[in-house]
Amino acid sequence: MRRCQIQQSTTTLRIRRRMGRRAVLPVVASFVVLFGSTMAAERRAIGAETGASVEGVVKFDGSQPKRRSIQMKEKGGKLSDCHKLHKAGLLDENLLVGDKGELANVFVYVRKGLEKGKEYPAAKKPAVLNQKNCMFYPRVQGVRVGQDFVMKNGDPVLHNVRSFSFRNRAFNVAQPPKSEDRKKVFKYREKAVMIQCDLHSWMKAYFFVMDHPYFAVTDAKGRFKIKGLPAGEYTLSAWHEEFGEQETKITVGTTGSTEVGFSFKEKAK
Amino acid sequence: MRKLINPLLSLIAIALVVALWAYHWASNSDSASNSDEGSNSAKETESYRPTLEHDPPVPDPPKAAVRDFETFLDRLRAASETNADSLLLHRDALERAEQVFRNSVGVPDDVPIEMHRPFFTIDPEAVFALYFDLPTLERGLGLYQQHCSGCHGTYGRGNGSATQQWYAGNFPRNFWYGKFKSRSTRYGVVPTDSDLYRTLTRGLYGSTMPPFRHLSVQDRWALVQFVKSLANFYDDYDEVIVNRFDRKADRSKSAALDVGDEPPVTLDSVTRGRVLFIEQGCIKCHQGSKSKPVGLARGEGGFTNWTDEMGRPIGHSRNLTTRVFLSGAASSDLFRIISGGPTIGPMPSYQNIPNEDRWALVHYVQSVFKPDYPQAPASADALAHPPTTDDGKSDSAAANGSGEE
Repeated sequence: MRRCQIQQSTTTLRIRRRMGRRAVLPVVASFVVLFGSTMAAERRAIGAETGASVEGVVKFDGSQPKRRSIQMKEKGGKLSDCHKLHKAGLLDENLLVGDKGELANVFVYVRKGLEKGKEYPAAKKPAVLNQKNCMFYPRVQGVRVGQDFVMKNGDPVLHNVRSFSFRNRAFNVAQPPKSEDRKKVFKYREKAVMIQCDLHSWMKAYFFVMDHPYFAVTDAKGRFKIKGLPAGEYTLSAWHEEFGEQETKITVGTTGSTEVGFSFKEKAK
Repeated sequence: MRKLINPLLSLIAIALVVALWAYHWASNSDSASNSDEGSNSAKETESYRPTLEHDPPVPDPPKAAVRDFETFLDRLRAASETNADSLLLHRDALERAEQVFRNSVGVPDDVPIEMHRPFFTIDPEAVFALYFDLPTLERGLGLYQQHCSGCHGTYGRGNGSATQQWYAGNFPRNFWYGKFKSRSTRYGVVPTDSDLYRTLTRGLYGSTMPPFRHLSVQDRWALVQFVKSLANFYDDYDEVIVNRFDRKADRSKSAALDVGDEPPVTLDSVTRGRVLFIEQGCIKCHQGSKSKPVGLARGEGGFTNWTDEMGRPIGHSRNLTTRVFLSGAASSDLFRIISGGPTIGPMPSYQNIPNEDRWALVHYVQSVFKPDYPQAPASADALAHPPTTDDGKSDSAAANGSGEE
């Protein structure tokens, strides 16, 4: 198996309907009654808030990896302009594994099974990509089709933001210090678009352009939660920049939460 | 006989000397008068307006060629919708194709090329089969195999046999991406037909791409249409095959750059250009710590990740003093490359800054290699506000801890 290949490891799949959550129903019902029936109907149509949720933990299967330290040096030993911001050194964020093997920065999204051609409410806030201390934040994020994608440079050094998109129009913008924020809007859904700064080779970020709101990124504890999913059968997909993509089939009921686990195997060396 | 030959030879010699002297005198006086005129006009008019090195106008593509390409797109869309599998490589072939590609282009094993996967999934033979009865594309295929495949590869993946032997930088384009440096369109948008025709006609000065002026106009148009038909990729999310030149698939409008009229070159515009050159960060890659604009080698500025669309190394940033620019050194060419960006490699597009500022940058860059241009004074450097790391210390320390978790 080549290193770049997607690790098609067997997905550990633990689907367990939690019946205990049923107790929440009366509370939700009274809430709906309080706020009027039209609003409730609208919400049901949207599919958000009313449906079930999918949550879980993404694990890393292998020994605790060491984080790479980034060499902020230019050729000939000259220090990069970013070195002043990180005198103590900087560690790469490509693989963040917690104490118990929880994997952060995994993008989990509903790949298949959603009703085709359905329109979802647009995101209210713009998605933001910060350039702070010679790093992109967040490392992994989801952007909706048509949502504003805002790039900010909070650093006193020059950065450029170069996208490697295929389906959407690629872009490459320079952001000198104190320059205005740049905005992009994407037209098509697309997986794992890499973003890179060519002046600082360690600066990388990834974003997904999604046509629905059912996605999440795992936090430092490897947890993710996708809310408001209508009942049905779906293909849930988890993606990590080092390990590629995994898929699993889930069945979601009308209420309650479904627990799903993913596990990425250590790369064969 | 000998008595005759000697005077004859000497006569011929004298005649030759006289002729040479006459020629020399004539050419000398010519150039002298020329240079006089040049300096006179420069003195008379304050704003010196250079003659542009324009190419001959691009003829319209033959209607049949355009129609053939449209027909091809229709077939591709239909095939992709009904049975995309017929156009896809199955998995073993995919791995083999990737291995062949790695070997041919010399992509090291530890460099992941996963992002290029959509391109490997298409079966080139199946795509070729879609246009086997379209005369223009068939003609283009024949010409392509004859003239282009040596560098651009049999299937246009930029990995021809020549790339294994003598390329050190400026690798040939992979036509599957539809990414080209010399364009009149905005960043990330495919070039127009006339852009491709133009590049084909005049080549890329400073690279291994020669001009193909010797081919007939019809043949060049056939090649342009054929190259467009190679720019397919498999969108593995939507599970369709998309051609990058398909306007129906990418409904991006107003893709053309607004070049407008060039303002006159003045000392002010060159000075403003120098200030922008520093403020916009051009200086980072095109000058570094050197005293005047040059190109920097890869790695010299700490930029070790300079790669093109295929992950192959890009050796240098452009040396601005040599007047060698792949897509042309005329004002409009420089304006286009500053506005739209080359799309390949690290150079960003500067579409966001106003037109006058971009023209100022053009004038400054030209003043670097044109000594008869007004030269930016040293005081311009003091006017600029270059990136410094001093004023960012305070807030950086605060955010350091939160960013590291």
